[in-house]
Amino acid sequence: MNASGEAEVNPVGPDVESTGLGPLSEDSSVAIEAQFSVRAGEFTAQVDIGAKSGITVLFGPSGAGKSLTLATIAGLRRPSTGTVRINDCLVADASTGFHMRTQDRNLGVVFQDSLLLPHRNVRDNVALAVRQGTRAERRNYADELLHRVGASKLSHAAPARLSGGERQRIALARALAGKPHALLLDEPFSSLDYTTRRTLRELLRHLVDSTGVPTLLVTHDLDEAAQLADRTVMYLDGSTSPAQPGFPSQLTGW
Amino acid sequence: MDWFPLWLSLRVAATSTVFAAIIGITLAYLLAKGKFPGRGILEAIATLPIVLPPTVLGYYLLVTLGVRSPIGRAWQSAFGHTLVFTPTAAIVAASVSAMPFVLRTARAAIEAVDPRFEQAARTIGLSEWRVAAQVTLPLARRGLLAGIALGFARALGDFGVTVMLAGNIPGRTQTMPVAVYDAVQAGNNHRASTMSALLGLIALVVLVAVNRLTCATRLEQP
Repeated sequence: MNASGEAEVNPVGPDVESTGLGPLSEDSSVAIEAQFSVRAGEFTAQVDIGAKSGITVLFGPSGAGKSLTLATIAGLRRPSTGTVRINDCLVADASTGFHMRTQDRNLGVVFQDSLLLPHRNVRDNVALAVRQGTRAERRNYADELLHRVGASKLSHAAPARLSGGERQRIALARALAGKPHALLLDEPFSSLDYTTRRTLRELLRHLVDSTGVPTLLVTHDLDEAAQLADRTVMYLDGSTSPAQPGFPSQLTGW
Repeated sequence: MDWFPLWLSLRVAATSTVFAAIIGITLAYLLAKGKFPGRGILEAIATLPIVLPPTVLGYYLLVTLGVRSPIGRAWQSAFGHTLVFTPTAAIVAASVSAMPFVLRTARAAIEAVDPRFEQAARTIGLSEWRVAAQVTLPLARRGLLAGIALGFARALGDFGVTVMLAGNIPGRTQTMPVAVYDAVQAGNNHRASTMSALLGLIALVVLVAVNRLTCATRLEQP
C-alpha cells in the first residue's frame, strides 16, 4: 500500500500545469478529512476537521492540541484512534496501523521556526523541495516561487543572514514548492514583530487565493484569526468544534 | 636516523582513518536513529576496542584473521600471502582501535542535531537517505570531523594491537609507537626521544583542532 500510495496521492489534479503556478485545486471538495484522537503524554486531543479551499483557522489556547493535529495530519505522529484522508485517499488509519510516510503525503508545512537548512543558500533550500524536473528546472521553479513571495533578491543568501520575516517568506516558498495538496501552517508568524506579521498575513492571503491551495492555519492570535479565517475550528477542552464560516464575531468583540 | 616508521605510521593512520570513518559514522547513524533488536549488543561490541587491553584485542584479531582462520585462508588464496604481519595488518589493527572513537563522537554529534530539521526535510519529500545525507550529516559535520580527527590520532598512536597483528618488522611493519619501544629496548635514547616528541606533537595538534571544532559546535546551536 505504501509503495502505491505515492502514485495515488501525488497527482494534484489535471488542472495544474507542470511549470505554472496555477490553481492547485479549483473544486471545493474536501482536501483533508481528519477524524482522530491523538495522545501526548496525559493529554488527548479529539479532532474532527475537514479542510476545503481557502484558509481554515484552528483557534484555541496554547496546549489545546492544535499543533498536535497538524503533526498528525503531516504524518509526524500517529493517531491513537481514527483516520486521516488527503483528497479521499487514506493516509493514516489507527485501527489497521496503516501509516503513510510523511514524504509521500505531499503537504506543505511551515513551523514557527523556519527550519531552513543553514548550510544551503535560500534558492537551494526551496529547490530541494521541488519534487519534479531536472536540476535546472527545479532551480528555475525555486526562483519563480521566490519571486512570488517577494524574496527574489535573497536567492543566494545564507538563511542565517535573513531576518525572521524573510525566513518565513522562504519557508512559505519551500512549502509550496512540492505543489502540495494542502498547506499546514503551525503559528508561522507568531515570533515576528507586529508590522512584519501584518505584511506576511497579506502575502499568505494572496498565495492561498492565487494557488487555491487548501490551508490549515494554527494560531492563538485573535487578529490573525479574524483577518484570515474563511472558516474557523475552535479547540475547547481538548476537542474541536464544528467548523463555522468566517471567524466568530463574539470573539472579535473582546 | 631511519624515517621509515614515520612514513609508515602516517600512511597506515591515513588509510585506517578512512575505514574507521566510514564504518564508525555508519554505525553511529544506525545507533542514533535506528530501532532494531540487538542494538545494545551492537553498541557494546563496537565500543569494546576502547576498554579491552590492546593485546587481548590483537589476540582476537590474530585468531580471526590468522593463517588457520577461514578469513586468513581466503586472503592467502586470493593474494598469495598471509594477511597477518604485513602493513595491511597494521591498517586493520589501527582501523579497529580508531573506529570506536569516531563512532562515539559522531553519535553524540548526530544525536545533537535538532530533529525538527529532519521533520521539515521529510515534509518536503526527502527520502530517509537524503535526510541523512543532506540534512543530518551536514548539520553534524563539525562533530563528525572531530571524531575523524580523534580517530586519526588514535590510529597513529596504536601500539598493542599493531604489535600483535602486524608484528615488529623493521622496514616493513614497524610503526612509530613500535619503533619507540624498539629504540628503548635497544638503549637508543636519542631515537626514542625524537620519535616520542614527534608523536606527542602530532597528537597535541590534533587535540587542539578537535577542541576548536567541538567548541564551535556548541556556539552554533541556536
